[in-house]
Amino acid sequence: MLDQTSQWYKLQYPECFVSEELRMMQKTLADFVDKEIMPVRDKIDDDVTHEKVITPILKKLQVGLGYQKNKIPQDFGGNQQLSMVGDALIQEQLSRADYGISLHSACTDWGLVPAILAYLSPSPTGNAWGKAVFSEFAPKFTGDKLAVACMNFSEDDSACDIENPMNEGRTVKVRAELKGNEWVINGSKMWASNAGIADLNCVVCNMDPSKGIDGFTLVYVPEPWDGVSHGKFEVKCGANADRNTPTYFDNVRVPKEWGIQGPEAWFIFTSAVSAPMSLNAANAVGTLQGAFDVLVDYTEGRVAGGKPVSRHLHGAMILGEMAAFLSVARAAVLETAHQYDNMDIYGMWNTESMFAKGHAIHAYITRTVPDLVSRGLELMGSFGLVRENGYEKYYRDAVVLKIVLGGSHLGYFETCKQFYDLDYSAFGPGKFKK
Amino acid sequence: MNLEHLLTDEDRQIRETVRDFTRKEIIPNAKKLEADYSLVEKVHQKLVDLGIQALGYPAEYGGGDGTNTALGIICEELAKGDGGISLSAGINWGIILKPAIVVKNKTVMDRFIPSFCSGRLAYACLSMTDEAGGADSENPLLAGAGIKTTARLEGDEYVINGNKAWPTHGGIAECYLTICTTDPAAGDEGVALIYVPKDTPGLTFGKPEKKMLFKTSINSTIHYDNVRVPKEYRLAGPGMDANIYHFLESGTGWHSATMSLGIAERAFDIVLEYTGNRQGGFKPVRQHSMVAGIIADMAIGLDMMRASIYNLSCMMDHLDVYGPPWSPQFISRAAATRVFASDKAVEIVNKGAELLGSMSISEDFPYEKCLRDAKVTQLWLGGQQICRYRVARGYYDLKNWA
Repeated sequence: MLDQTSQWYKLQYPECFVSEELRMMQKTLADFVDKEIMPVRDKIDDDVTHEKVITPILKKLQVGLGYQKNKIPQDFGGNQQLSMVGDALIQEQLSRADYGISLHSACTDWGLVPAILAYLSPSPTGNAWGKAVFSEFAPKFTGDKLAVACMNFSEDDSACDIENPMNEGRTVKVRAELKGNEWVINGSKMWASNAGIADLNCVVCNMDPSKGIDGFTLVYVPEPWDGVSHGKFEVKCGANADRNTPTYFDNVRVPKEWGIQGPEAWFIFTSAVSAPMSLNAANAVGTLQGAFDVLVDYTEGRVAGGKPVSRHLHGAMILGEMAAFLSVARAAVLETAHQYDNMDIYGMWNTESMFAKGHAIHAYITRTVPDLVSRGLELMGSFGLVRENGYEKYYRDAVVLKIVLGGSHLGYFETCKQFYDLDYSAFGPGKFKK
Repeated sequence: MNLEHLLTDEDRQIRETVRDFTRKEIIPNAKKLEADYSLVEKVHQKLVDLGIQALGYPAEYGGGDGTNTALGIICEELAKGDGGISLSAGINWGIILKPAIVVKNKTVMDRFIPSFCSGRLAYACLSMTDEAGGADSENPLLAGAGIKTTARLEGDEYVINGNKAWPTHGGIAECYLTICTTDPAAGDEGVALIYVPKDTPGLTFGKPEKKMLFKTSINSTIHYDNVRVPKEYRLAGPGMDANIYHFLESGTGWHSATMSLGIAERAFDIVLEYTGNRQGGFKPVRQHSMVAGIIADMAIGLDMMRASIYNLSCMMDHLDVYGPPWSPQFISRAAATRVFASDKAVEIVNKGAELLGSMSISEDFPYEKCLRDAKVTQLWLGGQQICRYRVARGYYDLKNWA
């Protein structure tokens, strides 16, 4: 149980980052995680249909605790939870039990982020788009049934090219055409989290890729909807509470009010893809914390050489290394999330510096955690491989968390770009140089 | 970029002042400073003249009541020029006398602090590592039982006997904060922290060590042969002395991390400039994606270090919220920063060397100094492995392994 009165807690979640309000939210969620998810965490990845374990948890989390309306504006009955530190705390707690559950919740948020950013912006065009989207779809998310959103942008090739801001949307293959009062969408997406189960997709399109940002378009598409179909759900080694499947758009028509186009759409998109960096890093911290907790319990109880494994120096070294990284990584995550929350000091989410900061933290933490979880497994031996012992799922989940969001290499290039003019567009050096 | 909101205007001003000082006074003279300690002393005197030395002491003694955040900034910036100078400046700034300030030992404060606020260079020394069993003194799992230097109370005086190895400023300091034990069998209850003035009879020193790194700071063995000091020079007494000792281990670990950061930042700056000018494959080296990946790794490591170090600085400045600083939890948090920063600095400097090729090891190029200096931050204060025990102890009752 998360003891917020302990010195450990104060040192891990300093009050310069975590407000009293966020502390209360974190405690409620931590208790929920311990009560509702931890006891069944070893059964989540075996719930192939999602009906026995996963969906009941999601209903309690997303509907019962109201998390599915976190990115719905208050004007439309939502929570308007805009604190990135708050989101980082949420993601860490959920991942402590199951990364897939946290991905589901985070990606519903993410699918709605473009609309809420637009709605709360001072731009009349953005505001009108956000208003149109929430007027139509907010009731689904504020109601008493599970509702799911999806940020649907990766494609079958050039996946992370879409997230690469240097490409300025030129690699987007899904086409949007404006015909009369409707957007007509054609093409396919893959790998998006919540695809196939989403009630609402934010689809990344381009009207004319040769025009780059000027043709860039974001369109909300509900489901079920004429012309929208899916492939089979992907079977993954970890994070199986998170659904992924290709999405096909075949002459899909939606009202033009549900889309936004041009530089403003690009601005919103680049902000939206910068936002999750500290959050997925928080997922990595939660995953490592979950694994560490299992390991401390196990090594305290397991006796070898006449004493608990944790009392052997080699055991203490590995535990110490994991714990050290937990402290350092958590500090970095909270600091970065705090910077996202204070744009007046640190800049907009899509500035070069914030992009670089988010990517840097994300790339490093998500690459390091799998190594540490793997090292921890050495202390459990073959017991660590057994599902009921609770550790192996973190090993599998850690593999997944390092490859999402364009992977770490894109992050490395973004990190460099704040220091010098690095060319890394899909079209070769110099092509997009301004 | 990191945690600007935690800094005061004064902190930012200090950063600009020390950064400018490092750029003008240390970096251009780095090689000469390593060869001639009299030049190092002149640099230190200039820092004294800037008010850096007195900054860490209480205002009532003419000091500046400086924060740990300010000290972190100073040490980071100085370490970009020279790790040894940064080390000495931090020690003289008040780290050694901070314990007396914390427990309000007025006898010690009145006796020693004025030297550091007088406007002239004064050295302090933490006399900790025993010649025999080196890291045992710092090993928290031994709870003071590893300390070999003894202190015996005779009348109104403590009589100290033992030998210390590696203390920075051995032989040149005004005062020596000596880690002793009154009874090794008593564990932490036997730990005694005693300030010993220079020129005390029975206090002798070995020759300065010849090192491959941190050549601008002096380390000498210290020998205590029936050294007698007034009993009031003991920091606080049984129990609290051990507490403060553990706090001191955290504080020195944090100080080490600030130097790791500065050294690694200097390495990064050199690499960034070199790879921007150096051509390979018909374009600047840093335009190759392999190189960009390494540069990013370096930058990311620096970001992580800064976040952890300045977070911890803030906690050390607000012990009313985050203390007590001698608890296993606090020590664990501080040790996490130190162990991470040390490893990361060495990794960053080594990665950067790959991009410089043989230039990285040339004495005509500034990088080889980074390669040398970074390494010590993994080795001192008991080393990385004991530091990891400290981290682990924050999470469970890790026992004595001896």
